[in-house]
Amino acid sequence: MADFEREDGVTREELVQRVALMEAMIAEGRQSTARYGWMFVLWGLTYFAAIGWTLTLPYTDWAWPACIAACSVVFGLVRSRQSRAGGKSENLRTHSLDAVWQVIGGGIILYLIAVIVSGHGKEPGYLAAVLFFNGLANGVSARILRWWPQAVSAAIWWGCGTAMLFFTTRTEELALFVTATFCGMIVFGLYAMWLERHDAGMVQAHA
Amino acid sequence: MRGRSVAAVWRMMGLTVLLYVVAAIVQHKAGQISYIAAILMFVGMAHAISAVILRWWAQGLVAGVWLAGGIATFFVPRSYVLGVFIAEMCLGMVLFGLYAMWLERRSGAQGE
Repeated sequence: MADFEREDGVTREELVQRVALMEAMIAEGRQSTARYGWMFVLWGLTYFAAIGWTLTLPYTDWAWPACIAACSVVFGLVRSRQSRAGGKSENLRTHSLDAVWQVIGGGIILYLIAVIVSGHGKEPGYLAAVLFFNGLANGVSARILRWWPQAVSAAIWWGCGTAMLFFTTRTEELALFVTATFCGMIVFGLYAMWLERHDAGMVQAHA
Repeated sequence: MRGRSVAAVWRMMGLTVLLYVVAAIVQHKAGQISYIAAILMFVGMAHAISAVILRWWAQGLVAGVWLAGGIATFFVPRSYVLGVFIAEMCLGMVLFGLYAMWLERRSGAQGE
Protein backbone atom coordinates (compact mmCIF):
# COMPACT_ATOMS: atom_id res chain seq x y z
CA MET A 1 0.00 0.00 0.00
CA ALA A 2 2.80 2.36 0.92
CA ASP A 3 4.42 1.74 -2.46
CA PHE A 4 1.27 2.76 -4.30
CA GLU A 5 2.30 5.08 -7.10
CA ARG A 6 0.47 6.30 -10.15
CA GLU A 7 2.00 6.61 -13.59
CA ASP A 8 2.52 10.33 -13.22
CA GLY A 9 4.54 9.77 -10.05
CA VAL A 10 1.95 11.04 -7.54
CA THR A 11 1.72 8.85 -4.45
CA ARG A 12 -1.46 8.23 -2.46
CA GLU A 13 0.03 10.20 0.42
CA GLU A 14 0.56 13.22 -1.81
CA LEU A 15 -2.99 12.97 -3.13
CA VAL A 16 -4.36 12.85 0.43
CA GLN A 17 -2.24 15.89 1.31
CA ARG A 18 -3.57 17.78 -1.71
CA VAL A 19 -7.19 16.99 -0.81
CA ALA A 20 -6.52 18.05 2.79
CA LEU A 21 -5.00 21.32 1.51
CA MET A 22 -8.05 21.98 -0.68
CA GLU A 23 -10.40 21.31 2.23
CA ALA A 24 -8.37 23.64 4.44
CA MET A 25 -8.60 26.36 1.77
CA ILE A 26 -12.38 25.90 1.48
CA ALA A 27 -12.71 26.11 5.29
CA GLU A 28 -10.55 29.25 5.29
CA GLY A 29 -12.70 30.78 2.57
CA ARG A 30 -15.89 30.08 4.56
CA GLN A 31 -14.30 31.53 7.68
CA SER A 32 -13.31 34.60 5.72
CA THR A 33 -16.90 35.01 4.45
CA ALA A 34 -18.24 34.48 7.99
CA ARG A 35 -15.73 37.05 9.24
CA TYR A 36 -17.19 39.56 6.82
CA GLY A 37 -20.81 38.80 7.80
CA TRP A 38 -21.15 42.35 9.11
CA MET A 39 -20.68 43.61 5.54
CA PHE A 40 -23.85 41.85 4.41
CA VAL A 41 -25.76 43.35 7.35
CA LEU A 42 -24.30 46.82 6.66
CA TRP A 43 -25.24 46.73 2.95
CA GLY A 44 -28.68 45.32 3.76
CA LEU A 45 -29.34 48.17 6.18
CA THR A 46 -28.05 50.63 3.54
CA TYR A 47 -30.56 49.28 1.02
CA PHE A 48 -33.32 49.69 3.63
CA ALA A 49 -32.18 53.24 4.42
CA ALA A 50 -32.23 54.15 0.72
CA ILE A 51 -35.71 52.63 0.26
CA GLY A 52 -36.94 54.44 3.39
CA TRP A 53 -35.55 57.73 2.04
CA THR A 54 -37.21 57.31 -1.36
CA LEU A 55 -40.56 56.63 0.35
CA THR A 56 -40.55 59.29 3.03
CA LEU A 57 -38.01 62.06 2.38
CA PRO A 58 -37.54 64.74 -0.32
CA TYR A 59 -34.71 64.74 -2.94
CA THR A 60 -35.40 61.08 -3.77
CA ASP A 61 -32.89 61.13 -6.67
CA TRP A 62 -30.15 61.46 -4.08
CA ALA A 63 -31.32 58.56 -1.89
CA TRP A 64 -29.31 55.74 -3.49
CA PRO A 65 -26.12 57.69 -4.36
CA ALA A 66 -25.97 59.27 -0.87
CA CYS A 67 -26.68 56.03 1.01
CA ILE A 68 -24.22 53.99 -1.08
CA ALA A 69 -21.52 56.68 -0.69
CA ALA A 70 -22.01 56.81 3.09
CA CYS A 71 -21.98 53.00 3.33
CA SER A 72 -18.82 52.80 1.18
CA VAL A 73 -17.01 55.19 3.54
CA VAL A 74 -18.05 53.21 6.65
CA PHE A 75 -17.24 49.96 4.87
CA GLY A 76 -13.74 51.15 3.86
CA LEU A 77 -12.95 52.44 7.35
CA VAL A 78 -14.10 49.31 9.18
CA ARG A 79 -12.47 46.97 6.69
CA SER A 80 -9.09 48.71 6.82
CA ARG A 81 -9.27 48.65 10.64
CA GLN A 82 -10.20 44.96 10.60
CA SER A 83 -7.33 44.15 8.21
CA ARG A 84 -4.84 46.01 10.39
CA ALA A 85 -6.10 44.36 13.58
CA GLY A 86 -6.42 40.78 12.37
CA GLY A 87 -4.04 40.60 9.45
CA LYS A 88 -5.20 39.14 6.19
CA SER A 89 -4.66 35.54 5.21
CA GLU A 90 -4.85 35.11 1.48
CA ASN A 91 -5.09 31.91 -0.50
CA LEU A 92 -6.37 31.34 -4.02
CA ARG A 93 -9.96 30.93 -2.84
CA THR A 94 -10.07 34.09 -0.74
CA HIS A 95 -8.39 35.93 -3.65
CA SER A 96 -11.13 34.63 -5.97
CA LEU A 97 -13.87 35.64 -3.50
CA ASP A 98 -12.39 39.12 -3.15
CA ALA A 99 -12.39 39.39 -6.95
CA VAL A 100 -16.05 38.31 -7.15
CA TRP A 101 -17.34 40.79 -4.57
CA GLN A 102 -15.17 43.72 -5.64
CA VAL A 103 -16.04 43.37 -9.32
CA ILE A 104 -19.78 42.80 -8.78
CA GLY A 105 -19.98 45.56 -6.14
CA GLY A 106 -18.24 47.99 -8.50
CA GLY A 107 -20.42 46.81 -11.39
CA ILE A 108 -23.66 47.39 -9.44
CA ILE A 109 -22.54 50.92 -8.51
CA LEU A 110 -21.60 51.69 -12.15
CA TYR A 111 -24.92 50.29 -13.38
CA LEU A 112 -26.97 52.25 -10.83
CA ILE A 113 -25.14 55.50 -11.65
CA ALA A 114 -25.83 54.96 -15.37
CA VAL A 115 -29.52 54.17 -14.69
CA ILE A 116 -29.99 57.30 -12.55
CA VAL A 117 -28.01 59.70 -14.77
CA SER A 118 -29.71 58.48 -17.97
CA GLY A 119 -33.19 58.60 -16.39
CA HIS A 120 -34.09 54.91 -16.88
CA GLY A 121 -35.06 54.43 -13.24
CA LYS A 122 -38.70 53.74 -14.09
CA GLU A 123 -37.98 50.47 -15.98
CA PRO A 124 -38.68 47.33 -13.89
CA GLY A 125 -35.80 45.53 -15.64
CA TYR A 126 -33.22 47.59 -13.80
CA LEU A 127 -34.30 46.60 -10.27
CA ALA A 128 -34.56 42.96 -11.35
CA ALA A 129 -31.03 43.24 -12.76
CA VAL A 130 -29.71 44.50 -9.40
CA LEU A 131 -31.24 41.45 -7.69
CA PHE A 132 -29.69 39.18 -10.32
CA PHE A 133 -26.26 40.83 -9.81
CA ASN A 134 -26.50 40.03 -6.09
CA GLY A 135 -27.62 36.49 -6.92
CA LEU A 136 -24.62 36.09 -9.23
CA ALA A 137 -22.17 37.16 -6.51
CA ASN A 138 -23.70 34.82 -3.93
CA GLY A 139 -23.98 31.99 -6.47
CA VAL A 140 -20.30 32.19 -7.48
CA SER A 141 -19.20 32.38 -3.82
CA ALA A 142 -21.41 29.42 -2.91
CA ARG A 143 -19.97 27.40 -5.77
CA ILE A 144 -16.35 28.26 -4.89
CA LEU A 145 -16.89 27.52 -1.17
CA ARG A 146 -19.35 24.65 -1.72
CA TRP A 147 -21.47 26.28 0.96
CA TRP A 148 -25.21 25.58 0.80
CA PRO A 149 -26.44 28.48 3.04
CA GLN A 150 -24.94 30.92 0.54
CA ALA A 151 -26.50 28.96 -2.33
CA VAL A 152 -29.88 29.42 -0.60
CA SER A 153 -29.14 33.15 -0.41
CA ALA A 154 -28.33 33.17 -4.16
CA ALA A 155 -31.58 31.34 -4.91
CA ILE A 156 -33.56 33.94 -2.94
CA TRP A 157 -31.97 36.78 -4.96
CA TRP A 158 -32.58 35.02 -8.28
CA GLY A 159 -36.12 34.05 -7.27
CA CYS A 160 -37.05 37.59 -6.26
CA GLY A 161 -35.33 38.97 -9.41
CA THR A 162 -37.36 36.64 -11.62
CA ALA A 163 -40.57 37.45 -9.73
CA MET A 164 -39.88 41.17 -10.19
CA LEU A 165 -40.23 40.77 -13.94
CA PHE A 166 -43.70 39.29 -13.39
CA PHE A 167 -45.05 41.47 -10.58
CA THR A 168 -44.51 45.02 -11.70
CA THR A 169 -46.65 47.29 -9.54
CA ARG A 170 -44.72 49.65 -7.28
CA THR A 171 -45.87 47.85 -4.12
CA GLU A 172 -44.99 44.41 -5.47
CA GLU A 173 -41.54 45.57 -6.58
CA LEU A 174 -40.92 47.09 -3.17
CA ALA A 175 -42.08 43.93 -1.36
CA LEU A 176 -39.80 41.73 -3.49
CA PHE A 177 -36.81 44.05 -3.05
CA VAL A 178 -37.31 44.22 0.72
CA THR A 179 -37.74 40.42 0.95
CA ALA A 180 -34.56 39.76 -1.05
CA THR A 181 -32.56 42.30 0.93
CA PHE A 182 -33.84 41.05 4.28
CA CYS A 183 -33.37 37.31 3.60
CA GLY A 184 -30.36 37.42 1.27
CA MET A 185 -28.37 40.09 3.06
CA ILE A 186 -29.43 40.75 6.63
CA VAL A 187 -30.44 37.22 7.68
CA PHE A 188 -27.48 35.68 5.82
CA GLY A 189 -25.10 38.28 7.33
CA LEU A 190 -26.41 37.61 10.83
CA TYR A 191 -26.03 33.87 10.25
CA ALA A 192 -22.40 34.41 9.09
CA MET A 193 -21.71 36.55 12.16
CA TRP A 194 -23.23 33.89 14.42
CA LEU A 195 -21.10 31.25 12.68
CA GLU A 196 -17.95 33.30 13.25
CA ARG A 197 -18.76 33.69 16.96
CA HIS A 198 -19.65 30.04 17.25
CA ASP A 199 -16.33 29.00 15.62
CA ALA A 200 -14.37 31.44 17.81
CA GLY A 201 -16.12 30.00 20.89
CA MET A 202 -15.23 26.46 19.81
CA VAL A 203 -11.57 27.44 19.33
CA GLN A 204 -11.49 29.05 22.79
CA ALA A 205 -13.13 26.02 24.35
CA HIS A 206 -10.52 23.73 22.84
CA ALA A 207 -7.58 26.00 23.74
CA MET B 1 -7.67 25.81 -8.20
CA ARG B 2 -7.87 28.96 -10.33
CA GLY B 3 -9.53 26.92 -13.07
CA ARG B 4 -12.26 25.80 -10.66
CA SER B 5 -12.98 29.35 -9.53
CA VAL B 6 -13.13 30.59 -13.12
CA ALA B 7 -15.41 27.69 -14.06
CA ALA B 8 -17.67 28.61 -11.11
CA VAL B 9 -17.85 32.22 -12.33
CA TRP B 10 -18.87 31.27 -15.88
CA ARG B 11 -21.35 28.58 -14.82
CA MET B 12 -23.12 30.95 -12.46
CA MET B 13 -23.03 33.75 -15.04
CA GLY B 14 -24.65 31.41 -17.56
CA LEU B 15 -27.34 30.41 -15.07
CA THR B 16 -28.01 34.04 -14.12
CA VAL B 17 -28.31 35.23 -17.73
CA LEU B 18 -30.52 32.25 -18.62
CA LEU B 19 -32.95 32.98 -15.76
CA TYR B 20 -32.97 36.71 -16.53
CA VAL B 21 -33.43 36.31 -20.29
CA VAL B 22 -36.18 33.66 -20.02
CA ALA B 23 -38.15 35.71 -17.47
CA ALA B 24 -37.77 38.91 -19.53
CA ILE B 25 -38.78 37.24 -22.80
CA VAL B 26 -41.82 35.54 -21.22
CA GLN B 27 -42.91 38.92 -19.84
CA HIS B 28 -42.11 40.81 -23.11
CA LYS B 29 -39.60 43.08 -21.39
CA ALA B 30 -36.63 42.20 -23.59
CA GLY B 31 -36.81 45.55 -25.37
CA GLN B 32 -35.99 47.63 -22.30
CA ILE B 33 -32.64 49.43 -22.33
CA SER B 34 -31.90 48.43 -18.73
CA TYR B 35 -32.41 44.78 -19.70
CA ILE B 36 -29.97 44.91 -22.64
CA ALA B 37 -27.43 46.84 -20.55
CA ALA B 38 -27.69 44.29 -17.73
CA ILE B 39 -26.81 41.43 -20.09
CA LEU B 40 -23.67 43.26 -21.26
CA MET B 41 -22.81 44.00 -17.62
CA PHE B 42 -23.25 40.31 -16.62
CA VAL B 43 -20.75 39.22 -19.29
CA GLY B 44 -18.41 42.13 -18.45
CA MET B 45 -18.46 41.20 -14.76
CA ALA B 46 -17.68 37.54 -15.50
CA HIS B 47 -14.73 38.61 -17.70
CA ALA B 48 -13.54 41.06 -15.02
CA ILE B 49 -13.68 38.44 -12.23
CA SER B 50 -11.82 35.94 -14.42
CA ALA B 51 -9.24 38.59 -15.29
CA VAL B 52 -8.59 39.36 -11.61
CA ILE B 53 -8.41 35.67 -10.66
CA LEU B 54 -6.08 34.84 -13.57
CA ARG B 55 -4.24 38.19 -13.43
CA TRP B 56 -4.64 38.39 -17.22
CA TRP B 57 -4.66 41.95 -18.57
CA ALA B 58 -6.03 40.97 -22.00
CA GLN B 59 -9.20 39.64 -20.39
CA GLY B 60 -9.33 42.74 -18.20
CA LEU B 61 -9.38 44.80 -21.38
CA VAL B 62 -12.22 42.71 -22.77
CA ALA B 63 -14.12 43.15 -19.48
CA GLY B 64 -13.66 46.92 -19.85
CA VAL B 65 -15.11 46.77 -23.38
CA TRP B 66 -18.21 44.84 -22.18
CA LEU B 67 -18.78 47.09 -19.16
CA ALA B 68 -18.29 50.24 -21.24
CA GLY B 69 -20.82 48.87 -23.75
CA GLY B 70 -23.30 48.24 -20.93
CA ILE B 71 -22.97 51.81 -19.69
CA ALA B 72 -23.01 53.27 -23.23
CA THR B 73 -26.31 51.50 -23.95
CA PHE B 74 -28.04 53.89 -21.53
CA PHE B 75 -26.74 56.97 -23.30
CA VAL B 76 -26.65 56.25 -27.04
CA PRO B 77 -29.78 56.81 -29.19
CA ARG B 78 -32.10 53.82 -29.31
CA SER B 79 -31.21 53.03 -32.96
CA TYR B 80 -27.52 52.62 -32.03
CA VAL B 81 -28.13 49.98 -29.33
CA LEU B 82 -27.97 47.11 -31.83
CA GLY B 83 -24.69 48.55 -33.13
CA VAL B 84 -23.26 48.56 -29.60
CA PHE B 85 -24.38 44.95 -29.12
CA ILE B 86 -22.78 43.83 -32.41
CA ALA B 87 -19.55 45.73 -31.62
CA GLU B 88 -19.42 43.97 -28.24
CA MET B 89 -19.86 40.57 -29.89
CA CYS B 90 -17.09 41.28 -32.41
CA LEU B 91 -14.58 42.80 -29.98
CA GLY B 92 -15.39 41.01 -26.73
CA MET B 93 -16.24 37.59 -28.03
CA VAL B 94 -14.95 36.83 -31.55
CA LEU B 95 -11.70 38.82 -31.39
CA PHE B 96 -10.93 37.69 -27.83
CA GLY B 97 -11.75 34.09 -28.75
CA LEU B 98 -9.41 34.26 -31.75
CA TYR B 99 -6.68 35.76 -29.55
CA ALA B 100 -7.13 32.96 -26.98
CA MET B 101 -6.97 30.35 -29.79
CA TRP B 102 -3.80 31.92 -31.19
CA LEU B 103 -2.30 31.93 -27.69
CA GLU B 104 -3.15 28.26 -27.22
CA ARG B 105 -1.63 27.31 -30.57
CA ARG B 106 1.52 29.27 -29.81
CA SER B 107 1.97 27.63 -26.40
CA GLY B 108 1.19 24.23 -28.00
CA ALA B 109 3.85 24.79 -30.67
CA GLN B 110 6.36 25.87 -28.02
CA GLY B 111 5.53 22.75 -26.00
CA GLU B 112 6.35 20.52 -28.97
